[in-house]
Amino acid sequence: MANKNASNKIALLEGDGIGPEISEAVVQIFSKLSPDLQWEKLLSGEQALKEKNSPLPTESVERVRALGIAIKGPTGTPIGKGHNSANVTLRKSLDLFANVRPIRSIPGVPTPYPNVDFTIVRENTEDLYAAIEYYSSPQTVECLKVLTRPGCERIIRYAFELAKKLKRTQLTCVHKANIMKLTDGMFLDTFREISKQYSNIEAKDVIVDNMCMQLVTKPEQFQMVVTLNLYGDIVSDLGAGLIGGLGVAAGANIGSTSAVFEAVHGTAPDIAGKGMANPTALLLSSIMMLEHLDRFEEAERLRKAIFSVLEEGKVRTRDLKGSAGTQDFTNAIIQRL
Amino acid sequence: MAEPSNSSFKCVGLDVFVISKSGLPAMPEKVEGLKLELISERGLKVWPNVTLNKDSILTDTFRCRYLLENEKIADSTQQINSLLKTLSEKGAEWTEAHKLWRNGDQDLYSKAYG
Repeated sequence: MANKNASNKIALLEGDGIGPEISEAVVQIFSKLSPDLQWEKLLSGEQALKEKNSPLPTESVERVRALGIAIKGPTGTPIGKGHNSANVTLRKSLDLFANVRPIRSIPGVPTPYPNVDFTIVRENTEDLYAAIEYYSSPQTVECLKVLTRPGCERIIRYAFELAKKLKRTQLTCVHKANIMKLTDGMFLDTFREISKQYSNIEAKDVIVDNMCMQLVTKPEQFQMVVTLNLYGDIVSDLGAGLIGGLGVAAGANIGSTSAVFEAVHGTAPDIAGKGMANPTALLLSSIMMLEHLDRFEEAERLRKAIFSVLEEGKVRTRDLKGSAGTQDFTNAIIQRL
Repeated sequence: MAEPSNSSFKCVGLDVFVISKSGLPAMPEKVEGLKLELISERGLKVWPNVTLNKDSILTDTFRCRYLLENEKIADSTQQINSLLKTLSEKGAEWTEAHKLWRNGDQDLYSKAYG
């Protein structure tokens, strides 16, 4: 769907905190795995805020647009005030309408859920994340929830097509249409309508609060999930918790002409610069990037290398109860390649 | 944020949501002491000075943000009412409008993305 990067150049937005360290791990590993790919570092995060008064300057966004593909490290967003989210800015500016989060148990990563394997497709450009908010009076604040029929149709169709590609036989729509009968109601109606065109895929729907309970009690029942922006944000972090946390969760943002693959965890300022960060999440996202570029053999090589290091358990970063540093982990993966 | 006091709660503009079935609406840039600051679609700025993906604009509803040119005006009721009247007379199909309030130097409305 998106530009397949004919120039072999990838935009790199390192981000803040541990972002530069985990980005460096990706670059080192790719120098062995895919030496023909070149990286173009772009300004983002706190440095961009200092130099350009924006965590994601227009020049950086336009360069990602031109290259068509990017890897992005974590950036922070202030709560309750300050600048808008760089992540949301990038997603909306480049119309990266589908956020894809595979949730898959990883060998060697401790979790009470060893058999989880589903993918969440989250609508990425609408809903409350339009962030259209107003004070109506000194005591009343409103936020507009905006859904459009075309926006609902394209994310649902994308989810069905991805289910076909991944040979999944079930797609679950998550919503709260019992309460928000017009907005979520339109999303659910659109899902039911489009599902008629995919007779080989069982279409189910679950109300979001029940979904959270189902994910905690019986996550293995799910194969593919499609949902709106806010619910997807919440449910995908819950999903990451099932498989070992955000430190081992991959994420991709897909549009019709661009794709951005990102670490979904935070900037971890407490360990930034100390060489302790776990680069697994960004590496798993880079595997999604390789698959997006149809470089399946390289994707599989990297996946096997990461999983074998994790499963062996000798080189683990501190978040996974080990004592290895970022460079130790990176070296171990390079050796496995 | 502490609750804004009634005395410092001041209207400095209006967001007008306009339906346009043919893409970005052509809106007057200055009306009755108010200036068109931006146009957004689903929260993302699409005017001025924006490069768009061809698929970016999905909907038929655009938010047009008008702000007072002279911020010293204490009561903007006349400007706001004139704006809506002028837009209606020019054939703009507006579907909702929201006043933009400020408390001292703090904007009580969100910024657009982009």
